[in-house]
Amino acid sequence: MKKGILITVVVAIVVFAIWRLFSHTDKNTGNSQPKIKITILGENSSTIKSMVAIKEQYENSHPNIILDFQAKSFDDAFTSSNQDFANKTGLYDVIMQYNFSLASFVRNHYVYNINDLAQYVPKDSLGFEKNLFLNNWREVGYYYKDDTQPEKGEEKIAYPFSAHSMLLMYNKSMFNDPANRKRYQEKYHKPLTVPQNWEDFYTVSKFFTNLDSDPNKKTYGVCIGGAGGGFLYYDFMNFVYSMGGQVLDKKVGWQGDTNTKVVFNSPQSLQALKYYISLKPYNAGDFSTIDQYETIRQMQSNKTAMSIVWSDLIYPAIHPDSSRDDRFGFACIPGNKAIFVGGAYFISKFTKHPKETFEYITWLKQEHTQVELAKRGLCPASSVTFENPYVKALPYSIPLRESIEKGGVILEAGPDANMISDVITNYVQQAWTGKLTPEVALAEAHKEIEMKRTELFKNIVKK
Amino acid sequence: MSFYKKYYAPATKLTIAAAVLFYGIYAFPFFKNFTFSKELANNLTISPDGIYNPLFRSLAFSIIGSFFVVCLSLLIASFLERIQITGQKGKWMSLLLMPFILGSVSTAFIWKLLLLDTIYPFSSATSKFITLTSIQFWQYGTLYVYLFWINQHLISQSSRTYAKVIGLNRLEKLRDLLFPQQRHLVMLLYIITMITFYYEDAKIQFIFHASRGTDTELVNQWLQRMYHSDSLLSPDFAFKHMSQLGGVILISAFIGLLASLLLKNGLYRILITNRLLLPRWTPPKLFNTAMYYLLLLYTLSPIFFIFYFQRVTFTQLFDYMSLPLLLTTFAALLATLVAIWFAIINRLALPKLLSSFNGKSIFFLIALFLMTLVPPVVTLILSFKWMRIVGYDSSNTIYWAWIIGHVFLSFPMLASFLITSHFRLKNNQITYLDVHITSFGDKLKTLFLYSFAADYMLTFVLAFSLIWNESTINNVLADIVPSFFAELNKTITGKSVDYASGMNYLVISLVLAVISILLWNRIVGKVQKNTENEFSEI
Repeated sequence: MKKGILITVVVAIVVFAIWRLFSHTDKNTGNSQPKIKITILGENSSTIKSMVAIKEQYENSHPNIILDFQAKSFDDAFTSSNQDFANKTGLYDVIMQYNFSLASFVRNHYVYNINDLAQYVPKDSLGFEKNLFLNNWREVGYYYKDDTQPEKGEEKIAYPFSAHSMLLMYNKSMFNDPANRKRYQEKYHKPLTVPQNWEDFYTVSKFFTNLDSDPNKKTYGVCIGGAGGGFLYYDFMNFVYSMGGQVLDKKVGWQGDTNTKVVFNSPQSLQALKYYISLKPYNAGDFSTIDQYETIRQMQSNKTAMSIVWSDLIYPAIHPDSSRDDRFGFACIPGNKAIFVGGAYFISKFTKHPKETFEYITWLKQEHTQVELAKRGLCPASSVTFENPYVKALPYSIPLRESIEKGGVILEAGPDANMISDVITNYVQQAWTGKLTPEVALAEAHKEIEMKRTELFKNIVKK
Repeated sequence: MSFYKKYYAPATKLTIAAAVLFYGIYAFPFFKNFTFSKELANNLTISPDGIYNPLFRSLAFSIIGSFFVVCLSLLIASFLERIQITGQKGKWMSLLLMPFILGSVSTAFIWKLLLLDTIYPFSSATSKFITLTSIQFWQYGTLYVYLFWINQHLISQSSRTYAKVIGLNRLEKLRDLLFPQQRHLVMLLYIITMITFYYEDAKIQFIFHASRGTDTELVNQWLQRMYHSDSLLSPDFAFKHMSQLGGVILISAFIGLLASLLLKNGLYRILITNRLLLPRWTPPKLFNTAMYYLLLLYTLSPIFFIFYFQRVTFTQLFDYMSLPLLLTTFAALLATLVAIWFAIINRLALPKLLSSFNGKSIFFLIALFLMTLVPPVVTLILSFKWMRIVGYDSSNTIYWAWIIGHVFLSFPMLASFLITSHFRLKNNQITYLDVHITSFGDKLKTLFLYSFAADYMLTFVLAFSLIWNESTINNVLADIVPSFFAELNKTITGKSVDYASGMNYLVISLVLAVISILLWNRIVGKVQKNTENEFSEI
């Protein structure tokens, strides 16, 4: 009897296994139907999730197309895209990557430029171009016509999939609490408002910090990122540029060559670094492990007054489920500059369907599609989308638009981008822990960036 | 001996040659690019961001950490001697397998949640490494305690009686009875642990965000950082550079492993040959019982805690994960069969070499692990390169590539585990059966299948866990075969962190671990009934 049951179970498993394998075979090879599959690779974020959410709209209106989304972790998406290009496997038709991959993709001839593809669609379907934030587009989707002769000018490579910035996220109830307002007025002789300059940012951070021995009463003024892997770099650059500093002497992130001057070691950068470190007593969490999600988590704990957050993390943070979390307000980061970054839809030169792929991208960029995407978490790259009443009503919409229009923070996007981010992260972390003085940290970082750039550009020439 | 040479040696040579050829061809692009250049020399000497700091840190962490984890496990196991395998307490002991079966990314997830908002674990580089070592002990040490505990039950009754008659005290019994019995297992587990610690990634990255500025970066993270930076020049340049740096890292690991094994062997000899009278100390029975309960508490409480504190968003994942589950089962089965075959024919063909841990067998095992010493980033890029040749056109081809890739990557660990298990088989048992039984099938049954059934079952459980949680092949083919590692990873890091969804994946892992443990207990129970007397004879 027992043996009979065992045999039945084993047979059932084998049958299920065979069925499962064959069902996957059909689905993945696409042999069962003569359809065109467009595969889109990108980092698992609100941007790609919004695209997945409206995929059926496109598939229904284009019955010969299947959209296949590969949303991966940042590292996996980065490696997969590079290896797909290097091995010419053409697994991905569209690669959604950030500005620092732009130079590498174009110099290695991995991606089409827009001029190559414009022939596939009617001219009027590219009308959306005029509404794109040009400063943002230029940062993420333009490159030299010929990188060996920069004087020849630049050209459009790809369309931005979104326009991101970093915003100030604040706890509304802490700022609106009458007792807090009264105390702040008494202490600093000015009203408690969301800070618009760095001086107020410091004062407010200090004001909200309460290191009570009772963990329930403990609060922090701010949460800034200090983890490696780019988190510290992006946070810190807000302060550097806002206070007049710069890393390299250039106008756009992807510009620069071996002769570009390193200007990081300046009084302005030093001021920024000293200011950054001065926030240490008021900073929530363990600095060196604070990444983009940890800042959100610290804010959600209701014990941190402010943080600097990426705009594409806001939508999932305030929509944890179908409801909306209204505890938080958003504003521009103090100072007269803001980060704008994001990435572009790079169309692979190894795609078998450049026409269909480009048609899909242009559909995504149409105004009505942008609104649909923005409703589901996209940070739109077009100014017109922000005029839509629904988009306008999003709590981060106005400061986001303002930040993108303001811009001015040049994030490195040349072949030296990751190296610069790593070096700055290393020395700022060491200055934060007191291992190095801000002066030494800055001087060492400057020296190392210079040295490594020389080495790196030598390798580009060799290649 | 001529019998072995005539029948088993050719088969063994063929199998080893095939394995070497397979590994050689697979890693050829890596070896081809491994050249010594001026840039590499600079990197090793003057560069402020050179390899030496992470390399030294990794070697120190892997040698000290492995020594700690293996020794502590051995010590704890010695206190659990009285717990019988077949008893009720013995059955509960199998829960110690749980953390290992859950795998690295689940362990990282569990401990990341547990350590949220704590202060000490993050207060300095030292505290981070201390915390990491205790997490490593949770994942690996608990398995080792279990393996040591089972292994010490194989000490013959006559030896135990002799020790009792001559009046060995507790510490002397440890030195003269338990340590010699555990010696082979200690060596094997030390090799595995050292390699695992050397290339540690998921935990130090997800929990501590290892970085150069906080003095926590190990070679793996350093190499990944270099890879990301070099990729912006071109992926081909990045691979060439990775091969050069990877070669240095591999050679360092090899030297570190060899040196620490020789040192360990020396220490062991001093310990064993030192005939000093050791103080008479016998722990009270309560101490042993407390140790047992504390160990189970230490193993299970992190899991209970996070299920208590963290919300779970239940979504239908079993259907989504059914394909990888199925393929993992096939791959684990195939990997186990290949490892069993390899271990058996080698034991028969090389009876002197593979009868115990000695200078030559250590080399044999390290050679087996050579492919595992290739840095994971290099293995990842190599796999992408091979997939270019294999192609992505047919799903069936991809499934086979997935299965063969996993068999290939898990082979060193599984084969070495079984080769070490087969050390229990005495050479005179093989000779005896060679003389009296001529059928190869009967020899196979009598010498191996009956005696090592439990070991083979455990190998299958280990294979399943290794493949399910593996990060290289699963990453390369994640577009076609959903990867548990990649999916759980997405819920811990990046722009869509969602701990509640991560818990959902953890539930799957937990269910698989429970099934594995139940299966293991059932097999052990059966084998124990059949071979209770046989064990004591061996």
